[in-house]
Amino acid sequence: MSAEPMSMGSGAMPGSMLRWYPSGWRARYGDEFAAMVEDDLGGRPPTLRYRSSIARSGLKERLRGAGLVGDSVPPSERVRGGAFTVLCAFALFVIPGAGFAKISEHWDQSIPGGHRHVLAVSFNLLASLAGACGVAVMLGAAAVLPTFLRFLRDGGWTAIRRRVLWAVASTLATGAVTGGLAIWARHLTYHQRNTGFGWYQLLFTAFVILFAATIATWSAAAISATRCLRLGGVQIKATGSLAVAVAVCMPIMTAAAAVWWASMATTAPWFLAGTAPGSSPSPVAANLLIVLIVMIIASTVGVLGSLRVVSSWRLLPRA
Amino acid sequence: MARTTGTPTHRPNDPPILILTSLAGGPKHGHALSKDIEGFAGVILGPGALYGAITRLEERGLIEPLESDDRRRPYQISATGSAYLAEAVGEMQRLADEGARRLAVAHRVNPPRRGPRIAGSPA
Repeated sequence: MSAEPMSMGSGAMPGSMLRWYPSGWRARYGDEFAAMVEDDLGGRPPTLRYRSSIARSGLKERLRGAGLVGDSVPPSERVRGGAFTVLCAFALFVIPGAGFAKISEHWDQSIPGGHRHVLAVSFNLLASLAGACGVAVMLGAAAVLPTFLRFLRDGGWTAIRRRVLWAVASTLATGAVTGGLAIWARHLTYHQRNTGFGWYQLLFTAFVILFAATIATWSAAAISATRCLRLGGVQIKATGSLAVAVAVCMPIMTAAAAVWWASMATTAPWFLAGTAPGSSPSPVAANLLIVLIVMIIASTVGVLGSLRVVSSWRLLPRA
Repeated sequence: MARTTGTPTHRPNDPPILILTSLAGGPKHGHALSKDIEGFAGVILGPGALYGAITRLEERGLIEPLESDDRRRPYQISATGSAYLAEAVGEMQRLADEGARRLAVAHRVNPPRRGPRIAGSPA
């Protein structure tokens, strides 16, 4: 049976609709599924509702295949799927995290000494947990490294080459834009860099997009590689517990960022607005609001992933 | 979400139960299954929902694919599937019996009121 969906007559479901399903599923059920859809439609064009129902089912099948929902895969795959979800959530979290680091740059030099306590505690908590999460991700990578090297030795490179090349290309592009941005920034004043919208801001926006793309492509490469690996029970448990630790840290970091914002808005709103010290601008900074919203989304996804790990943990075979 | 006591609970409109019930009457392919289910249960299962359930049922060994010359692959219920369906039907039957028994008791204690009589209708 072919892995590709059969081409179907005009008016029937186009074969591209089957692409919502994972390739393994298409290889097994693709032909008969397409035949059923042909019978079902009887030559009529599929409605939007019909198409969206197929798309929903296909995505559900992908999530099941990745061990993210349902109980049709072994507990170890469910733990692995939950850990992947946390990894994706943390990759997403890194983007607003970098934004927060940029917004809060040099804050301690701009605020009077007597008002720094809450700001310092929340900022240091966030920075420490971000560092701890980074270490946890590194430890997770180290735990699967021997298996990954064995996989590469056995010819696994071809399976992940495309994703890794995308990630490398994205990293190189980000590096080039970062270099250009840094050189240009030296010739601009603070005001030119931070107000209005011109070529510099356009390049900065391109940098943000490329930075996000780099995080996304490396995460995709890591997940693609790890999915190919046959991990042992200890490795599954190690990555699962590290994922739970990261997922616990993310809401705390989000709360710390919110506390930092509230405290800064009370103590020195001019810092958030980039106006003269002592002025009273609005403490609502749009960029900080976006940062917090993305942090909340990432934390929620991370917690959902960790719940998947925890709920499947007790079903893992004992060592 | 409803809590259960650990015993599996089956609902008559669950796609797996509908598919197993349909296949208990003989092997069928996807479209025939869909039409049969619509006929006996009044439930329309789209291809996504139907094949999602078929995938799960096959993974659990409750149904088996049959060889076919064309793309319309028929399925038949397996021995495990028959046992599963029998258990599900028994459970639903017990629930239906209990409901009927309690309704009968309730009707004896507090008979249902008749609707308002319409003038001119027989008593």
